[in-house]
Amino acid sequence: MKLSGFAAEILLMLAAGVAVAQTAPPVAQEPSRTAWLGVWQNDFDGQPGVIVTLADDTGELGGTVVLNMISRESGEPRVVGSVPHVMVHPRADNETLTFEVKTPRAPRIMKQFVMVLKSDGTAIIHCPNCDVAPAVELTKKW
Amino acid sequence: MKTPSVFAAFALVLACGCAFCQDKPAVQQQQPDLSHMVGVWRGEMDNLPAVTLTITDEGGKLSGAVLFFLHVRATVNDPWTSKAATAAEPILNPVFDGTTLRFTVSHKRAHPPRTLNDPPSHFHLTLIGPNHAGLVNESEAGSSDAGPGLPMVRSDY
Repeated sequence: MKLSGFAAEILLMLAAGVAVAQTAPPVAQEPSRTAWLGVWQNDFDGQPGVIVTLADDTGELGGTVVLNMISRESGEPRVVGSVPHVMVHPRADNETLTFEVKTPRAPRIMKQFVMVLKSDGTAIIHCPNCDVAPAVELTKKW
Repeated sequence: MKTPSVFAAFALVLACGCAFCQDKPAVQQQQPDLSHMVGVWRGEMDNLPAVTLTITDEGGKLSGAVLFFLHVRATVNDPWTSKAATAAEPILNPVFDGTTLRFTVSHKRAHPPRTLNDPPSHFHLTLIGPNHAGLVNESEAGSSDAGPGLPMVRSDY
């Protein structure tokens, strides 16, 4: 089945089977912005699912989110769609990063995302105002 | 292209001088219409995705994300396939004059760790018709002869 649309992208997180408990364990003490900078990714069947890039090249925190659409139509899982989304209003607050992503199709609702840094260096991302979106664990690639 | 510092200084002095010469109050420039630029721009090479550029004005300012694609094949006998780069990059310092969007993209995270100290790449996207534009990577050799650049097609975001 080929997934399409933003809802499908969010559903992908659920299908990824990497859902983790919503409550994150105690986190490191007030990590600086530097702790967030880089590329964060989760894998689904060996394919990149969610990719978050955080940068401050201009001195201002900014970033992108890619929610890959993965299909098993041909047997093997493969990425069939990649649309980069702009991270809007990113805010790093102690161990938590929040940002919004524009819904690409009507209704035009800004989806809110929350990333929580864990003590082991991974992060949990979830979308509180998405219809179906479990928390997903992201690993920092670099 | 880097401007020689002497020329840049001369241009700055000239610009300041002209500003002082004006006895009329400065007219506020009209903001360019962003509606033709905001959206998802897709470019292909050899019928395969090459670049996807998302432009938005959400948050009250122009911003964007760009994702480049690699064209790979397992062997010379296999067909080419398109594979998204590791991550999308935010566009930096976007400036739109009503026709052309100029921006830079960090190259630090392109192929780390060897690219961690790379300078940013400069791009411009020029509208050439309704929902059509050309993307030029100014940092590539021969970009001045690139013409309109890679054809890009816009869809709503």
